[in-house]
Amino acid sequence: MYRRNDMTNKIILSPHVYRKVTHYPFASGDIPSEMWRFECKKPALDNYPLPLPMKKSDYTLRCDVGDVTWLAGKGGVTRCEPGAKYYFDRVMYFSADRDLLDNNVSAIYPDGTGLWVGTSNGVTHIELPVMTAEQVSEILLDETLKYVSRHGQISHKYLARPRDPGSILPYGSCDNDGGFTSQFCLGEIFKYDVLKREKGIDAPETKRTAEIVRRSLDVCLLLMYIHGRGDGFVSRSFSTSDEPIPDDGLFFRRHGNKAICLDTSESRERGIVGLEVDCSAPIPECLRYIYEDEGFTEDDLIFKCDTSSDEITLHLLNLLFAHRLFACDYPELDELIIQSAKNIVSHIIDNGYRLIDFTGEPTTWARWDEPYFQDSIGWVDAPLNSAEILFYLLMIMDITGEQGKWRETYNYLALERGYADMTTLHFDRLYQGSMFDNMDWPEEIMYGDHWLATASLFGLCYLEKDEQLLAKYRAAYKSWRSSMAREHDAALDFLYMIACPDESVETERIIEWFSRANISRLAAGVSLKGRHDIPVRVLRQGYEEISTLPPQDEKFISKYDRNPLEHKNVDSGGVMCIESCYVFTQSYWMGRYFGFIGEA
Amino acid sequence: MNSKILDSLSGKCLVICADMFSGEAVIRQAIYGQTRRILSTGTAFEIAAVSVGSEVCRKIPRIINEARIRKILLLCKESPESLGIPSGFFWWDYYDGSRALTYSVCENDFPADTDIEKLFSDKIASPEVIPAVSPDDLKRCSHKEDDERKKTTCSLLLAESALSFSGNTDAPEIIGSLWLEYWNSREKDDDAGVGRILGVIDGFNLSSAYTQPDFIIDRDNIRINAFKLCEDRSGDYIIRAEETEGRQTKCSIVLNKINAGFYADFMPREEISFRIDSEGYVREVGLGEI
Repeated sequence: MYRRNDMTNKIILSPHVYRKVTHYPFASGDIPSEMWRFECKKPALDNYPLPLPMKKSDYTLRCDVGDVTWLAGKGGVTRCEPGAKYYFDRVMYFSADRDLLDNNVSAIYPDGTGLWVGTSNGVTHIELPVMTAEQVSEILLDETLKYVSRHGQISHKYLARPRDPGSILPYGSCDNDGGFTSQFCLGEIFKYDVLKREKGIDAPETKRTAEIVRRSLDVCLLLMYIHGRGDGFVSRSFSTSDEPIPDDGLFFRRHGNKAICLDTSESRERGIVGLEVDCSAPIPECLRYIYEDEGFTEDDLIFKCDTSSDEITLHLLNLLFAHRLFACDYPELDELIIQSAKNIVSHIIDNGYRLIDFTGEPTTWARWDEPYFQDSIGWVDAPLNSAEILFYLLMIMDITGEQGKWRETYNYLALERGYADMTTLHFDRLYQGSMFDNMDWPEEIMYGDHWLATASLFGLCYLEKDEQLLAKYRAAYKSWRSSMAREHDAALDFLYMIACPDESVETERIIEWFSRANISRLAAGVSLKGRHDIPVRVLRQGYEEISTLPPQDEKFISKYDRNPLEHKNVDSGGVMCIESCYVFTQSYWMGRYFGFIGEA
Repeated sequence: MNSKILDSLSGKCLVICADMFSGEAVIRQAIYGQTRRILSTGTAFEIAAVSVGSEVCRKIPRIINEARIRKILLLCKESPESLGIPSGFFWWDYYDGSRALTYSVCENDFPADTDIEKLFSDKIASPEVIPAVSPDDLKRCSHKEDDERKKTTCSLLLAESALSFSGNTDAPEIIGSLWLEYWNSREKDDDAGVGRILGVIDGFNLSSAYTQPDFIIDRDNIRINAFKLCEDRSGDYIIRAEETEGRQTKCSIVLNKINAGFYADFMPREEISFRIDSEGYVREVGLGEI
């Protein structure tokens, strides 16, 4: 068990093997001809001491290389090393679609630490290069910057051809572009600080990271001005005129000093197609390069509205650390960060703790007001949203150094209106809500909320100095733990341990998280369904979960807003999609920054 | 009359007497009662009326949840406060995250004409804060009682395993059908023979280690509480395992004799039941699968 306050227990990540696979057609000259003549042993597994991913009788091929045994058959490939240093390395499972072209293995041929595998649809070369987690983070970062970034927004991209990053489609708006980009940026901010301390501000790596931070931070800031309202509103996402607009929300296109609502199902339903709104407030000059460098003008910009509290919360966490760790070296940027954050928080206060959309009505999911807390949906959200707005207020006091209306509002909400007490009621209300909906409580979880709660409650515990309030916020954080702990996610664990230093997590799960990661975020699936070693459970409404999390390289690839225990092989677009790197890079650099992890 | 089964066709609560020594007895009342209700009426009980005496089984929320019930009317022979719980509504929690919305009252004070469904639905719809009661708040059994329990149940667990593995296919049916006699025997407290078979899963109240030697378990804080054939005569097996040291833990459990090997994630003090089919595939199931 690892405790944050015992720094002698800093987790040292040793170089580790990671999976690299290359697929070949049968006719490829790169396939060693020996593999077709190689004679495998018969597996003898009657008293095998470890769980195996396939049914024992499905294994038909075996070869031994030193302490490692490779097993294969009609369900894929298994690598067994009972004496492995780590628990999670004793058995590794390689399956289609990510590791193999299909699972029907007819031939195997050992190749050093790797394996050639013949299946029905071709041949795969599995390699197991030894790398550090930092090297993995660089590989993933490069992939994201090369393939996933869309005008600097970091979410995911789709491919025209399976598994072929060269066929990446240039468009692809995501509902939470702003939030995901903030999380990506936050990881790079932590990285910047680590590199600055370890290698110096003028080191090439530090400078490159500064450029990455600057661009992604500028993109986040652009979303706060692109709508031209000048009132602290934040757009969800933006696109340019050369991109198709997805039919999943409200979009406006700029035209001079006006913006016009585009035709989508949502805008038709609301009767606001063609609605013209003022957008005359200028976009800060320092942000215009984001579209101008790509040859676009302001009239080419399309922005998305109906913004949720997700974006606001993740942006403000990002701006907090951008101010503390990055903008100290860029004073003009710091002014913009502070002003932008003040605009957002002022907007929320001035509008009765709501984010007001172009329609003049509150957006669907950005409400922190008491009437919302009393309706059927807001009642369950109230503990989270209470924490969010209290965090915004502490955050703004921290980065501005001001008190005034921020403090008055904070005290009013936290103490007079009971928001601080409300933060502690999350699990009670989640559970009560699940009873109302006749669900098991895990079915009621919105997994994206885990990061919103982490951002808000970590922020509150990090910034609040009053012991009584701090105790409430810690209790609130702990009320989320029974659902968050299910994820075994390193970043969630790190922030939780900082906020609640009396808590502990399993060290080996953190090592597993970094050591058994994928070196590409191509969202190819795995063969989770049908595994012999992972129990499945069915919840009240028929939702299927696995009862234990396999390592990341044996489960589907997704963002943070998915249930990692869901019983399915693939998420996102599978072999037609590349997800961004932030799930790994943010965790890694956060761990390095806070001193939880280090490299051997 | 022809089926010789007495079914309930009406009523709002599944009535459970928990004023007893055996967690298994409570389980059977909950599970069998709910099952018969569903079979006979097509609907499930939403509320359990649980009567308790001078102490309370801390696992009742877990057991009740497994019967797909999350509302408990707790009828206490004495005052609820004497059991360490408040009168009125509270969340009754168990270590593993199980939870039931509970209304506790001294049974003599509870008006017979109370609309129980309305009592609960009004509370669920109400925004009022409901206090929570942890298992540590409850009045606990004496050490002496615990020791007796351990001594008896360890040997009984072994007895059932032996029966299951002896190829005696009648064993599960015997265990199921003799429940009523067991209940009577407990009342009379003089029929050790029947109780010996039926008490096998008193392990729900166990706090001592019981390890089936054929199991390969790679974590010391995971204990096997029961290993048995399913009573539905499917040939499937049930394994119940529990985390004992209050730590979130991942472990592997292997039992080559039945071709099973799997991983499991335990929350602190969580007890999980696994059902294993003839090919060794595993499902996580509720305590209700017996």
